[in-house]
Amino acid sequence: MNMSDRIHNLSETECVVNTLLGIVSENECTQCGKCVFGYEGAAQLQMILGDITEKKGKSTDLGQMQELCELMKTQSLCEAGEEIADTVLAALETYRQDFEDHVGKKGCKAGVCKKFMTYHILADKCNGCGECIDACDEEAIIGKDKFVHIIDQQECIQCGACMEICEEEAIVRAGAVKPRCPKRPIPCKRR
Amino acid sequence: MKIQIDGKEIEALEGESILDAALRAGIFIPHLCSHPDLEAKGGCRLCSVEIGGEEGAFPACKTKVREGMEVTVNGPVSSKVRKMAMELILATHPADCTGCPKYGKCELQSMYQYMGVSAERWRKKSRSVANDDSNPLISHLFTRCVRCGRCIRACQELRGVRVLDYIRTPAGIRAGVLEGKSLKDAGCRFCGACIEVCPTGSIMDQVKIMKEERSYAENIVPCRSTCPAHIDIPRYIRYIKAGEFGKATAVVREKVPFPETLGSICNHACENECKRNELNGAVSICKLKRAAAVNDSGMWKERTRKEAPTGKKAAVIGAGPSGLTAAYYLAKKGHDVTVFEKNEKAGGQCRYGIPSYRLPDELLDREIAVMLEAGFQLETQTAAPMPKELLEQGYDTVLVAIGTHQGTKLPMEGNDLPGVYVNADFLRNARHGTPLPVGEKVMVLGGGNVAYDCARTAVRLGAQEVHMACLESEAQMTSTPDEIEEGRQEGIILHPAHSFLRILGTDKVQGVEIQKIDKFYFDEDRRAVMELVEGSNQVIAVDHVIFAVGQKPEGTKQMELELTHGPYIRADENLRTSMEGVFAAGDVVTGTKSVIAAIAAGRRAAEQMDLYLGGDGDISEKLLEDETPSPYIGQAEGFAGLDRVEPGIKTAAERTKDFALVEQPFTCEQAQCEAGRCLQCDLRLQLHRPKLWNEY
Amino acid sequence: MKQMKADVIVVAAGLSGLAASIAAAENGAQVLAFEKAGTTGGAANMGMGPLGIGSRIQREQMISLTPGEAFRKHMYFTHYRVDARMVRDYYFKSGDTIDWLMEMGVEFVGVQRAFSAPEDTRAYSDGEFTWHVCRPEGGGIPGPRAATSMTKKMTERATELGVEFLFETPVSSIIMEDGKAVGVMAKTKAGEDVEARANSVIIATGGFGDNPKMIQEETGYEFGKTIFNFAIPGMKGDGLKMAWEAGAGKVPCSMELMYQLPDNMNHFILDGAFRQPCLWVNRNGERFMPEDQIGNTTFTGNAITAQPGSIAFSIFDSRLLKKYKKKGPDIVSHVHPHDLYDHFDEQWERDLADGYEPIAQADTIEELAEKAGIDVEGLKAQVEEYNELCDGGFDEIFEKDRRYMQPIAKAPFYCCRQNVGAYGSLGGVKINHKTQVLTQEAKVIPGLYCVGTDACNIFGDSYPFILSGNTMGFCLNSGRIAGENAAAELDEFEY
Repeated sequence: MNMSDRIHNLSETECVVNTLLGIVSENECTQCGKCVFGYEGAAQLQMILGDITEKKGKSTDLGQMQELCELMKTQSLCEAGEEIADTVLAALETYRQDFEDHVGKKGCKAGVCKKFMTYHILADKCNGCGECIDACDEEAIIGKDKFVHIIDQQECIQCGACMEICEEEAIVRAGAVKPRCPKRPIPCKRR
Repeated sequence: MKIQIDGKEIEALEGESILDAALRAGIFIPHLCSHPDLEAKGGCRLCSVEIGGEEGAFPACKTKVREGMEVTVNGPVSSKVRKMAMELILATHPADCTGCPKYGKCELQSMYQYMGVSAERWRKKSRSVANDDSNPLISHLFTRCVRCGRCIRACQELRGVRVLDYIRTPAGIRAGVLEGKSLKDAGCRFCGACIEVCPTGSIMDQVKIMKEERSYAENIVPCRSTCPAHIDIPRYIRYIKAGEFGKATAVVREKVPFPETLGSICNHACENECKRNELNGAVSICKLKRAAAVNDSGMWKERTRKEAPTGKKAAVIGAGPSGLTAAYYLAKKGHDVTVFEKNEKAGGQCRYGIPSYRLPDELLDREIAVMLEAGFQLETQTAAPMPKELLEQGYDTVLVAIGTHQGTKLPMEGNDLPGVYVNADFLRNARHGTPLPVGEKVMVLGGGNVAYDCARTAVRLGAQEVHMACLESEAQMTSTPDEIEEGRQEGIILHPAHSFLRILGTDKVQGVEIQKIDKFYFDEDRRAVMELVEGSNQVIAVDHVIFAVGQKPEGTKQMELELTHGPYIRADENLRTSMEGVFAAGDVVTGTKSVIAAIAAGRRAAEQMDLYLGGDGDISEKLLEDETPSPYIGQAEGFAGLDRVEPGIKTAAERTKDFALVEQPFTCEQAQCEAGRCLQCDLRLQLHRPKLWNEY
Repeated sequence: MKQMKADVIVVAAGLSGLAASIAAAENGAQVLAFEKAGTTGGAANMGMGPLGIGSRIQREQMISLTPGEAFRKHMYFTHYRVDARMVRDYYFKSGDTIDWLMEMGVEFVGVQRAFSAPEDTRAYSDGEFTWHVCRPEGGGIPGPRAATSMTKKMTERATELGVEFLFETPVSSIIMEDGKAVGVMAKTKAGEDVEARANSVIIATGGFGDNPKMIQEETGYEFGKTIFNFAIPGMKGDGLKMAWEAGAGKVPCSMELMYQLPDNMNHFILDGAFRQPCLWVNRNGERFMPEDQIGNTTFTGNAITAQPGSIAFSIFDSRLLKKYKKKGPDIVSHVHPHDLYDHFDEQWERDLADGYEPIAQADTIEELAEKAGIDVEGLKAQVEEYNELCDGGFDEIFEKDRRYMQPIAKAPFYCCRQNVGAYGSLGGVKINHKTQVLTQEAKVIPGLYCVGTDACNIFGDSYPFILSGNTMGFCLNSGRIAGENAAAELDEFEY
């Protein structure tokens, strides 16, 4: 499948930003270095797209990529650079909303970019067993015996270890829409 | 053809690029990856321009001129391309230039200054690489590489050495040596083209080989700048490599009239500075000169200078290397020159100070005879009148070049016992065929080449046991390592780092007491300070002692010239003495130095005296056509490991039998092989340095 | 030997030399400027902008600081140990100099201060808005090197005015005749000697930051041992040496202190990452200053100098690192990339693997101290005390700003040695307020001026960080003063 086909045939579980990052990273421009627009342009795209997938995108990023790719198209020494530029431009046009969701920190619709996901403990399911507290290397889960545990979003690194360990299925991953959860540990209803 | 750049009409050449045409016409267009000596690639896009009737921006370096073309440098599109290209380069280039050795001479910095853009809106990335200082000549600091590919093109296409290429590393793509090899192992020829073309500080000369007191060009070709006469060493070595010995000799003769003499006995300070020392030993510059001279075709004679008689008369006192050199060039300038020499033959120190096993009479006779063809009179066995009298006799100018022919003794107990000699007397008598007796055991005091001359002469005169003692340690001794080694082979017993306490004996020499030195150095006032090892005294029984601790001029007191440091003649930078019309040059001014320094001084004297006589002071000669050497040097397997070629030398047993020449000249094959070791540092100077914006 | 003639000779075309050249040429002098490097601007090409007080931009931005106030502040800072008349003339000219630059086409994004102090200490340690940051050509966000847009405009202006630049042509000495400076001796790149004569000579070579021997002799620091200063190639102290040789009086030199990591260019991310108000200790493991001040690089450089071995260590734990990665640094530097923590792990891993000597990582405080070369017991006790203070929320020792009281508790721990650094040297040649060079007995040496860093004797013992942009400010204004004076002298000779 060629580049633009890959970008035009995305399934629902594929994120355009993440896929595009993969395409750019595999492109031969990143392995050549003979022209500024090809090599440095691809490096910038990698960094910008990487940041966007990591929830560090800036409002100016989309315009900047657009501007960069328009020049990359004509100023690269070979077709490889041109191909990247075309692909990025096509993606930006076709999937504008997805990019804006990422940059606007709204979320990753496909659920691929982990940094957009948050983990939550549902108050009605948690039995206060403490398994997840032990599983969290980041000490991001607060709580005590028989109290509903709370994930400190500041500390959480979205690794998902707590969700795997929870037998009660009390921990969920959320995108843009977050479940309502208590702000601090409260006694468990469920025994 | 004519083209227009920003509305200005300029002349352009068929087939050249817009960039070349613009730069030649004095119109600056930023550029980084293009270089005047390398094929344009168009990778950096800093030179983007717009062309009338066409859409978009084009790299000026890759776009050929066409008649009537209308070029706009800073059109909306080209400016945008240029600006973004620069921003992209800077975004991954180290932000802090202050630690960079190229600061102030960096093309990227200059280009950045010209364009004044900021990369702040881009993502930053550092592609840092550890600095590689493992090579003694070339330093790699590839954190600063901007991937312009100039070094690669220089190495691959211009030089054909093919050592540098784009390499992939975890930190990114950059220029470098393939397979992680060292430069030596990769076949680098250390021509320095990569350093010369690198626009940033990624490839640099090692700091320690760039001496601050020297100009850039002098540092790049250290052999040539170190030679007192500035012989164009890389140029003659290149001719030797090509087997063109006549041309090589002509190159040498452009600066000195004694090629074979120098090839035999020069102290070759050039070799100490040769950059190849840092790899595996200097190029044998001196011996190559001898090889050129013995295989000379005489072609240099076709172009030698001979000006019409001026009617001016010049007198030269002393037919040593400086006096003869001055006479030779003054004669070529049309002056009527007479050289006075008190010895029976000309040559000075070359003849009476250097033993014939190093410099045979026939060789000197031959070279002096050739010099005499320039047309000056040589009056040997003639004590010269005093300079003032010579002026009164009608000479318009006089050169005093009498050298230092009086040996000196150190003030110590027993120094006037019978059997104590000084170097100058000892060597002169040996050369005259009336050697001073040496008995069975001899001690030479001193550690220079002259001390070795005395010691090795004593061996040849039949001494059974020859000792040498000197203050310096072996590493500090001024004699060349070759000399020390050959002396050792001839059985000379060296006592380095020893102080001489006294000469023992009542009515004749019976021995010398010496003591080991712990430390020897010069204090802040340049006084020698010695710290001795207690209880290390020993007496060496000998019949004769030869002082070889320096020489001084003789007979200068009577000349009515201002003296300095005792008997030395004071001369200013133009070699003028205190008496109008009288010049002085060589050892009598500087103290005992080298033959090559004396020759250089002789040339300087000739220039100044010619000026004094109303000439233009130009004694330079162009003895052969200028040929631009090919920039393509190609690959040479194992180049860094090529060992120094040594010429044939007689065994110690053979050579100590008599005073015959001990060392063979290189065969032609050996010479060509040795010449192939030259790094050709001078080729770098052929490369053009791109002019920075502020030079337009 | 090449012979040249001019009215005014300027030795080196850095910022002060450019200012002198332009000022002299504007006032009718024919100027020759010798430059050792291939380009103009010297050390200023690394800077971001100069000080100015009372400029048009300041008025527009409603910054009310007057030259007189700045003068008082400066003199208070230096305890009146420096030439008050020189300082006065400099500050009172500085606003006009900014306007003068703007007329040449130099643009400034605005006026900044280098350091904003925490509330408690603001009265005496807050920076003033004096730093005029240059605008990159065609707009954009300024960063390091922003001042190149200024040196370029100045070079263009100088060229327009007929200033002749001789590049890669270092001056070796001043020609003195009858006690007056009458020209210079120089050498071209190809090795040709140049003798140039003029009515006056202005020395502007930028000090001796690249001359370890002189640093040792003049300031006592050992390059690469007790100091890791910027060594901008070519800053060899040429100007000082030739001025002293010509009879100039000597004023004690100093180094313009700050702090940094050895070979910081190749470790720039770490240089920035550890420049935070975390836990700072000396070799004995003891804290030595309120860490909220580490943004004042001059004071911190001074403080590190006073510690055993002239070194300090900056330490944080993984919790703090996580915070920095997430929320950015506590103190934002003007010099380092703002997203430096995104690249921290990559650089840290590589430097650990390469054995970059100033850094250490460990899972216990003991191990960290051992690896870093800090007294183990000392550091243990200090961390314990510090963590208690953090729990209490108040720094009883130095009263460090509460916001920065963050414990060092969670392994792994990160440590980076901080060395004394410097931008270069300061001062050395005795001058008066007209920038004329004086003998030791304060007699004017006719025809000889010295400006910029070579003659910057007005800072006393430390760079006045509170009035930022001062190094470039002094270079510009002293250069300008010299150029004007040198040109004025010319008239006297012509009439």
